[in-house]
Amino acid sequence: MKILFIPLLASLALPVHAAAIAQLKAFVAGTQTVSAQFEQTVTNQSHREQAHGTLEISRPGKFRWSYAKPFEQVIVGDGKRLWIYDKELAQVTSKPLDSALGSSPAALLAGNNAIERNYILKEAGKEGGLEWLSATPRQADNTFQSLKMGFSGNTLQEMRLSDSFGNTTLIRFVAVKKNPAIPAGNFNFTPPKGVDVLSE
Amino acid sequence: MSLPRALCLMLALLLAGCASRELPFHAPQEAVPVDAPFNLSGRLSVQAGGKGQLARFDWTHAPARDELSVNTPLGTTVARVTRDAAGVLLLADGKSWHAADVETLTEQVLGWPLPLANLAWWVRGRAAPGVPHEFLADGALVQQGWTIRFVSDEPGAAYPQRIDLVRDDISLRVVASEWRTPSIHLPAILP
Repeated sequence: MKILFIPLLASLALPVHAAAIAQLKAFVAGTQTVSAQFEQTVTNQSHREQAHGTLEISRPGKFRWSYAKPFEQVIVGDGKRLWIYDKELAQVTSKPLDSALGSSPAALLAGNNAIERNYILKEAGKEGGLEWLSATPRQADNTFQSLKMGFSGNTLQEMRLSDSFGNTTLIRFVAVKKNPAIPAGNFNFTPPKGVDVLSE
Repeated sequence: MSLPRALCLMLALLLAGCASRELPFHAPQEAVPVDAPFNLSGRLSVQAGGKGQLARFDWTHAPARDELSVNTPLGTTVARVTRDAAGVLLLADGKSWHAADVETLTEQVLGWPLPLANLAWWVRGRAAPGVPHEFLADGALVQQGWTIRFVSDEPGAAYPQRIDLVRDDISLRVVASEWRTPSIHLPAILP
């Protein structure tokens, strides 16, 4: 009886108190698709800027990261190429897809194991009701210096980034849905009429 | 009015109605141009040599100093240009470069010239003072080899919403997202 009880207790306790790395692995393993809304706050030396939008992921490697406010910008990874469309600029850029975080955290989250392959993960303690991990790129990344991810309930709740220029970015995810049905067309990008398509 | 003429007029009106909300921007005439400090956030795109890039920027301008950061959508900075009495400094990829002027330096390092000194006027819909210029019949400004088109989305706006710049085979496009008056750091005064 004792022998049976110990593993049962352990498995019950794990999801509640799991450290961040275990929650990240559970989040990735447990989701083929993800949709969420995000709120992004960038703080730099002169001001604070807020933006919000939506995120959709389909593993492996497809994502759509759309800013709705304060201006419309859509970033799509179709599995092969990365597309960035800015409505007011009326321009689109397209380049081979890599997991460059600077383009969008979705690129990082959409991979099956890109995070563990490309980053060294460390537990970073508990704060604000979330378990945190820090991710250090194995190859130096010129777009940020430190990256932290906060989890609860095996779900990514927040990301924090900082760079060597003194900028900090906080991204809060809300209304996270695991394995929703997402139309395949959301991960294809067709440039609207009248916009220039530039290749990087 | 002859029928063909009436048709032409109707067609012209229809086409005007179909066009987007883009309007030409006309800056108010000023006796003496004032170079007021500003902080501007926006996006820019660059097309040069068949390749293109799109980035966000954050620019703090004053007559004696400029600081322009090129940012990712996440708000992290990938390159920063600073101009002051000591010259021009460009920081990118953990390296730094010094030069006398921004245009030469950005052309060397980024692969495209950023005409920062003139751009400080152009983003405000004005010609840079003290430099020869002309306005074309369609309202475009020609100055120092660049042709600049000012686009607005509302009549009577203080500044253009977008400017398109072309020089030889280089195209730049700048959209202004938010204008701010730079904050002056004074101790808080309680009422």
